[in-house]
Amino acid sequence: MALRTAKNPPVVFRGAALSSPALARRLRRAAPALGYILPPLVALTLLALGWELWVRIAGTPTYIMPAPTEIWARLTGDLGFFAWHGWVTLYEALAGCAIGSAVAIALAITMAHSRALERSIYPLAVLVKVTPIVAVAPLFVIWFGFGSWPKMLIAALITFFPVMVNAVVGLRSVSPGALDFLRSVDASPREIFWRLRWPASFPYLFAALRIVAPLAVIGAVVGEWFTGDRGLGSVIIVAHNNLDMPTLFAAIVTLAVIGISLMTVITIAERRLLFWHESSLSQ
Amino acid sequence: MSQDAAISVRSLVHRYPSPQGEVLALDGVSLSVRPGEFVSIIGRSGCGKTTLLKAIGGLLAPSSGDILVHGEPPKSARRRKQTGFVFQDGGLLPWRTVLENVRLPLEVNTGASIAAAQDPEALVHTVGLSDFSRYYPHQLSGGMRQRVALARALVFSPSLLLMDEPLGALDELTRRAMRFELLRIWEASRTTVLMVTHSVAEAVLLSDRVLVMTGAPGRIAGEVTIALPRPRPSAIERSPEFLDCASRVENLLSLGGPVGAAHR
Ligand SMILES: Nc1ncnc2c1ncn2[C@@H]1O[C@H](COP(=O)(O)OP(=O)(O)O)[C@@H](O)[C@H]1O
Ligand SMILES: [Mg+2]
Repeated sequence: MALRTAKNPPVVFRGAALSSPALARRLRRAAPALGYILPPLVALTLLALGWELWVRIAGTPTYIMPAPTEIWARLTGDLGFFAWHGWVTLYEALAGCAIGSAVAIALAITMAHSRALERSIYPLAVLVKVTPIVAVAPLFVIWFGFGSWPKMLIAALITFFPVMVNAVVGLRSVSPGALDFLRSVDASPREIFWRLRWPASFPYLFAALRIVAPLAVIGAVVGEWFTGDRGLGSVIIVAHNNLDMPTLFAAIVTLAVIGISLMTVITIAERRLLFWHESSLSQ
Repeated sequence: MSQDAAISVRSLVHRYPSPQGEVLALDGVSLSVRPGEFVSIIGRSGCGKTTLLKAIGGLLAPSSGDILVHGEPPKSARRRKQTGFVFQDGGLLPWRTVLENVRLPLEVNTGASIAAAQDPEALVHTVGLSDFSRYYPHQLSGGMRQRVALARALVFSPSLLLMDEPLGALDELTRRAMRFELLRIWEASRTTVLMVTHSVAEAVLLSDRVLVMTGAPGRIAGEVTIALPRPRPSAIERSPEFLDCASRVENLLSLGGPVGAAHR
């Protein structure tokens, strides 16, 4: 813990004349977090500023490139609209992610116990992985109708392979000493699974989650392109057809916010659950 | 085979199947350990020490030969919680605190009839970790982790403690300190111990008897009885008797070197 603050010294505030020691302490504690957030925020602001100036000076028409202020006005002017469609996309991505992970983990458990099963399932899983998702998306819409199912299933399909691969490795990544010890006290295979293999696979599952969470959002959006009634994907398609650039950009911003939120939640959960693992110790 | 021996092994042979044909890990190993005795097995890597220990602990069914632990088959002795284990890497669960790790055996297989379970907290105290009982393994030093593994092995008050290079993963200085720590803990409990080690000094300091193994295939090349008085203070390491025992073990080890198969 001490290392963490030592690694991220409160550079921003060093040298500032602070009268109150309490305030100084609070700032010093907040500084590492600010150190993460502040630089990208500054960069983003500068980018938006440059963009705004460029669009205004060049007089670029809105239907080609809207100014950031226009996008912002569109977004905040109809926040409920973007929030609702964003929620639909997020929900489809999360549900798909959950379905794909559940199937992947179930298969991984059987594969971790039997090399023969692994040899028979793995090639099929690779086949699923190498098939471009955009190619099967229209097919899913035909098979599963226009509701949430095709999108969730596309997200599930994208999620499946990385989770399965990592889960197999994770379930096998137990320390031999811990395994021997549990056997020596007559732990049943079920106990060995729940007490050792399952928690030992968490670091690998989290690594997979970091990869698949943004992919699942992509899957949901791609699904929505083909069934334009709700979700940010359909908002983008409709806005595109109408050359409504502020809406299109506002939808993209909403997707970015969803992506950042997902990663933040995963990072926080990982810090809490994996406090014992090397990866979180070296952070 | 004597019935009142703590461990009695006769003509033990074990072959591992492998893609290149069978590996003969143990070839006719016989030994006997008296109750309360501390016996070390010393030998090079790969000479079959772990295999022997696992067979005696009932974790591995040998190809042939007889093993009795307190007069019963190793597996049933283990099932009755008569055998405790300490493994080289400790085998602690990193997501459990010290106390939770020591408590683990009590939570597993709760259906078994358990005669004498010790209080985990008292055990943590015995190994000198009272102040660390709520720490996680990654917050401890290697030596402390092995002390947790030792406490965990003692939960059921086993009459036989099997230790596979318990100090093997530690640096030399920690290892020397832990040697005496182990001696102190054992002198308080006096349970039968069979310990695998790579260190001559460690074997001599702790043991009543040192068995020297040679490898490929695994055999017992000889034994050295350590007639040093107990309790043993740290100064004993410089006594002539200690050095004499150590050199006899060294001799057996070098005799059973690369051409050890000829020596019996
Ligand atoms: N599971 C296994 N499968 C095949 N060979 C093994 C296995 N375990 C050990 N061996 C072989 O048996 C021999 C003895 O191994 P081991 O008992 O682990 O030696 P030690 O503990 O003395 O280093 C070695 O040659 C090793 O390669
Ligand atoms: Mg070994």
